[in-house]
Order: sequence, then C-alpha cells, then structure tokens
Amino acid sequence: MKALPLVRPLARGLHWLGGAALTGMMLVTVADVVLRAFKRPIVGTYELVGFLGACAIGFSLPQTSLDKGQVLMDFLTNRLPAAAARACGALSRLIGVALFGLLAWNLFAMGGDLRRTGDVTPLLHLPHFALAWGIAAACLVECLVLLAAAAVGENGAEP
Amino acid sequence: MSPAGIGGLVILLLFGLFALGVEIGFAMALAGFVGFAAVVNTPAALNLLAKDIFSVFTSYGFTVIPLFVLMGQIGASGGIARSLYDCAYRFIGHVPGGLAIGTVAAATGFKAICGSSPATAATFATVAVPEMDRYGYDKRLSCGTVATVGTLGVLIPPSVTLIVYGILTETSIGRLFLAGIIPGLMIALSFVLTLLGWCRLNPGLGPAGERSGWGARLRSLPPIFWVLVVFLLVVGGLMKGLFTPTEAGSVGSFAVLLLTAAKREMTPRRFARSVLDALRIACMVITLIAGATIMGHFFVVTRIPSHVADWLGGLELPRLVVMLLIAAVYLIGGSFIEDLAFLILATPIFLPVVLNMGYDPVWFGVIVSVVTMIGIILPPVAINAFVVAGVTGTPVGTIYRGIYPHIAGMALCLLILLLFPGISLWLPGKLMP
Repeated sequence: MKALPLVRPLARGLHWLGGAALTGMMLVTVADVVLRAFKRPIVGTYELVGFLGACAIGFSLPQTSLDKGQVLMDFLTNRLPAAAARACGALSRLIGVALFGLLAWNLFAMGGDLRRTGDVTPLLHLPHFALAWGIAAACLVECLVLLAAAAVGENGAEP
Repeated sequence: MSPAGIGGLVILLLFGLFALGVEIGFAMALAGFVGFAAVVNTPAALNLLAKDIFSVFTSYGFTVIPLFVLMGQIGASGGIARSLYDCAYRFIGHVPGGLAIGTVAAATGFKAICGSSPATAATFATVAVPEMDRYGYDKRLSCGTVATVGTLGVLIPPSVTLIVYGILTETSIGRLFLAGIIPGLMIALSFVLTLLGWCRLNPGLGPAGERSGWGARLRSLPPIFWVLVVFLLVVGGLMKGLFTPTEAGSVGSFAVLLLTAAKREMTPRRFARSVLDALRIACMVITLIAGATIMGHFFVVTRIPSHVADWLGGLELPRLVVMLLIAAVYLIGGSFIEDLAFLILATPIFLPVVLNMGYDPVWFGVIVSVVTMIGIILPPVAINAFVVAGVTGTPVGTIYRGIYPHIAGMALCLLILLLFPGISLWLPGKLMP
C-alpha cells in the first residue's frame, strides 16, 4: 500500500496531539478545582476544556480507524467467500470515505463562515473557525486511512 | 411518501449498511443524513451533518467520556486490579471456587474506578486466569467468570454506559451513579451464588487453593482502602455538587495516576499508552453518539419516536409487559449490533414510551444497563468472550459454556429490578432527593 507510509505517521501524529489535549484537559480541570478551593478559579476553564476535548476526539479519528477501533458488525461478512468479503470491505470503507469527504468539505465551509463572523469563545476568545478547520483536516486524514483500507478490502481499516 | 414511510426506508438502509460492515457510527450518520435530505432538503442535511458533528465534538458535556475512560485505563495499566485480586485471593482463595469468587470481588472493587467492560475482562483474563489454571480450575469456570465480571462496570459507577445514557436523556449522572450501586452489588452477589452452587454440584470445576494467614490477609488490605477513597471522592463530589461530571472524571483520573505513581506502577510510557488507549475508546463512543445525534434529528422530523409511543400505548398492555418487550428489543438488538451502539440508537425512541407509562428515567437507565450487561456476554456479538478468548487462547465456545449459568442469575436480577423499581431508586432518593 503506497499510501500507508504517508497516512500512518499523519494519523499517529494527530493521535499524539489528541493525547496531549486529553492530558491538558485533566490537568487544567484539576488545577481549576484546587484553585477554586482558594477562591482563585482559572478563568475560562469550561471553554478551554471544551476546546481541548474537540481536539482530543477529532484528532483521534484516523488512528482509531487505523487500529480498527470503531465498532462494526462483521459476523455476516465474515461468513462470505473471501472475494465477496473483500468487496464488502472495500465498499464499506468507500462509503466511509464519502461520508468523511462530505464532512470535511462542510466543516471547511462552516469554518470559513465562523471566521468571517469573527466567532470566538466569550472569555478566552478562542477562535471557533480554527477548531472547525482542525476537525476538517482530521476528517481528510480519515478519508486517506479509509481509502488505504478500501484498496485491500479490509473490514476495519488496518490493511 | 410520508415522513414516517421515509423513516421506515431509512431504517432499512441503516441495517443494510450495518450488514455490509460499515462502522456503526458512520452508518447512523450517513443514514440520518440521507433521510434528512429526503424529508427536508439536501442543503439543510449537509448543514446538519457538519453542525451536529461539530457540536458533539466541541460539547463540554461530552468531555466527561474520555476522562472517565482515562481513569479506568490508568487503573488497568497501573496494577490496581492485581492488588485487588491478591487481596480477595488471600481471603477466599481456600474455598472451592474461591479464586473465581475472588475474581468477582476484585472486579467489583476495580469497577469502582474503571468503567470499561472489555478493559476489565482483558485485565482479569491476564491476572486471574493463570492463577486459576495453576490450581486446575476448569476453563469454563475461569474464563466464563472473567468474561462475565467485566460486565459489572456497566452498572457500578463510574459507568461509561450510565454517563452516555445520562447525556442522551438529560438525566442527572450523579443520580444514575447512585442508582447503579445496589443493583450492581446485587448482580455481583448473583455471580458469587452461581459460582458457589456450580462448584457444589461439580467440585472438580474449582478446586480449593492455599489458605493464607491473617498477616498476609491484613497486608493485602491497603489497596482496597485507596480505591474506596478515590470512589468516594468521585461519586461523593458529584453527589454533593462539588464537581461537574467532567471535573469528577479529571479528579478521579489524577487521583488514580497519583496512586499508581506512588506504588511505582506507573511509568511515562504506561501513562502515554493509557492516554492513547483511552482516546481510542472515547473516540469510538463519541463517534457513535455523533452518528446517533444526526439519526436522532432525522427521527425528530419523521416523528418516529412519538409514533412508536402511540403504537405501544394503543396496545393497552400492562406496563410491565411493555417494559419486558422493550428489554427484549434491547437484548436482541444488542446481540447483533454492539450493545452500547444499540443503546445510543434505541434510547431516544423508547424513552418517551417509558416516560408516558410514568416510569422514572433513572430507573430505566438501570434497566437498560442490566440488559446491556447481558447483551455484552450473549452470543453472537459477545465482545467480552472475544476479548477473553484473545487473551487466554481459550475457544470462544468453552467461554460461552461458562457464561450461561451467570446469564441465568443476571436474568433473575433483571426481573427483580423490573418488578421493584425501589431497589434502584432508594439510594438516589435518600442521598440526592
């Protein structure tokens, strides 16, 4: 699979970024809870945690598919002859490519609208458009992962 | 064609996509999108697709999921399960079937910090099965028990299933956690009674292990104390309104991290693995929720949930029979599709029916969780049996034979919980009126 050497590090890099975001969520929230006891809460924790949560989950999409982490019903296709199972696997992954292609396109468009309207979070002024574009980019990497899997007709994504 | 007619076709499309092997979360998103485009129009559906995914991913409310999963993953990789098993083994390892009963006791304690069912099954398959092998336990008993006890986390807080149910139905997660405690302990007791009865009928299944002295027993107790402290911190903080669920998950994860680091069981590499594993699980769960959110918006425009509620109401059946029918739908659906996925798909449809009959949504959350527990170990999609088979190399058929006696006990508990809602609602009524 020629696409994989490119796709794998991209997915892995995004996953580690997501991991950093999840660790950050935990630390910021704990710090806020502790400081709140001293009447010095961290302003904007709610916004920051929501923002980091979106990065954590959005950026983990490609690696989750690469590791076959999404749930699917394969006990029917597993009973098919090998060629038919591969065809079903390829078709399923291509359906996923269509979905994430549509999603990436619409999220990029939505991000453009959010940028034009200057939509930011109320306290920390975190720009929503950056988040929409970040998730859209992760959706594009997800498309590549699913395309690579479709090429070999795998159920799940690891070719 | 009427919206309800389109709804019927879209449900067929959804099951077609499932059968083809499309990821369940993706299939729900796509079917919901196609249906919404058919009922409303394509630009609105495209808009819905992006907006729903964006709002689910950026929602503060959903950040609770990766944090509670992280807490469990840190606990699983930080040796807490082994310490709890060691303690239970010291106290009851010497009675026939005692190592299996010890597995139930240790898993019940471990579930107080870990909400993931397959993670518990995998952890105890690694910790407890080799020990039971050493004493000549029958594989049906050892592997069947390990696969079954993993399900306790669906009900004993902090359960990911209860969190997802709480978010979907806008029910208090604190009340749901409290409601899960007594039924969870009741089911754990049913596992113990099943094991005692089974070993009495066939003593060769679980020979007695070594008897430990009181010194060794007392030395094994501290981990239980610390797990209890973390549990009280998380559930108590939620109950008293000191924490939001997200804060409870963060504080719990951090506390378990400190606990495992203090025991020198946590390394940076293990922590990184816990974080990345937690993200994979959380990403799967949130993808399911995002797909179900799109599907849910499609259901709203077709008014399918209210049609189902009207239809079931029109049957004029006793409400217990309706509840049994709903439980059967969850059980059958969850046996073919992944159980949490089916819960996410079906709950918005059935909740109005349950509320119309005058039932408490907290109680329904408990019932749905018990049904999900059974579904997790009921063939053909019994994920815990697959996990234990993978870890121990035991044939899945052997594990199923060890699971069936426990399913009988769980079914009895389900019936009791259906007949007596007070068992589930007493604790939240007392502590969070």
